[in-house]
Amino acid sequence: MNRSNNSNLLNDDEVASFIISGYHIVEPDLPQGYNDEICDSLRKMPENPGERIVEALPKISVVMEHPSVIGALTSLLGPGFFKDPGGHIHMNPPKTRAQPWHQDERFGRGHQDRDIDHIKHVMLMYYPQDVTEDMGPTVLLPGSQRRVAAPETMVTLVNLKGQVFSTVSAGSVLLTHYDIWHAGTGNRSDRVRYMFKFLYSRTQENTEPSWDHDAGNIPEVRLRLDNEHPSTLSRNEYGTDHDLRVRTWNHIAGKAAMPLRSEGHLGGPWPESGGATTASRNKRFKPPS
Amino acid sequence: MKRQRILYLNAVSRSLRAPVVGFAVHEPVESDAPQIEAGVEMPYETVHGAILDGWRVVSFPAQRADVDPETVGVFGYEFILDQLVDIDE
Repeated sequence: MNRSNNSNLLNDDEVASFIISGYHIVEPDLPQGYNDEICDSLRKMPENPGERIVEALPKISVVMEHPSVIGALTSLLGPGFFKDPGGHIHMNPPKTRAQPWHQDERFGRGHQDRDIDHIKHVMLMYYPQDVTEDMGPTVLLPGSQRRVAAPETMVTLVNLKGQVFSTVSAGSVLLTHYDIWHAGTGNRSDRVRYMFKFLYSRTQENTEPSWDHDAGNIPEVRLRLDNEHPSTLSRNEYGTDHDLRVRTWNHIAGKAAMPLRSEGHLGGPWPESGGATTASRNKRFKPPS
Repeated sequence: MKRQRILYLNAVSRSLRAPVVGFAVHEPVESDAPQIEAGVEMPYETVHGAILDGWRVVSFPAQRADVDPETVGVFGYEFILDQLVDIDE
């Protein structure tokens, strides 16, 4: 895809990926030794400062104000985004067990009040140490930010196809759609895993893309939004999930919005056997990735 | 004595031949509940595959005639299966 020099903003492909999967990882070039200093400070804290984390550890602002983090947040939430008050430190010590799958709740919102076709809130998770598979990485279910499911329906779910573990290097920043299904997993190592969590919110609707957009990329974005279904969708959910992906793009793209349906999607050569076209058959029978 | 092993399988439709996209096994012994783990594979591609391996379906998922066309909702269709196994006491 085409890209300008504005390297701190996400490009069309990265925004499409966020819409489809619900997360993006930023790796800011932090000062030498910064992550170790953060970990040392955390170890010296007598207790979790809770929502007063920024006051207790002002140097955490280096991450939050890093141009690559600001650029990614601007791309996803528009130029006037703001950080919600507070934040949290999650400490995952050795020998913990995994949390159950959940969507975070927000005060005043019910479990059915989700932004299934928009990006209004983004969760920022900063990991000051390497996170390996045995250290209890955060697990995400890509595409699940478009699901509206009561917590009761999640209680029997454990390992799901397509689940992604955020095994990252020290200093990585994971940005997720607020409503994505996620969980902390069990820490089987002998090391503590720290993670900082902050919420950011949109303040205004975009009139144009707030990322590094090139109109020439629209056909490739369209192809991805049309075809990259989560492998976990039920048969009767494909159409709805597709529409929600395109509507999300349209809600954040302003004047770069696209029609809900691709034109002539059933056109093309006759199929070799049954169906509308060879392309539609190939699409339907494409094995899940 | 014989006890029930329980297997939850989440498939993408009510069909026994539909792809499985989620699972959990509960062993009939004193133990912690199964948990999310990296590197695990779906034990069966379909519910039918589990039946061929000796599991019995004890609960079928309900029809969803009232699906909201604007919403992607509950994850998969949940089948519950069991196997009777000998446990030494």
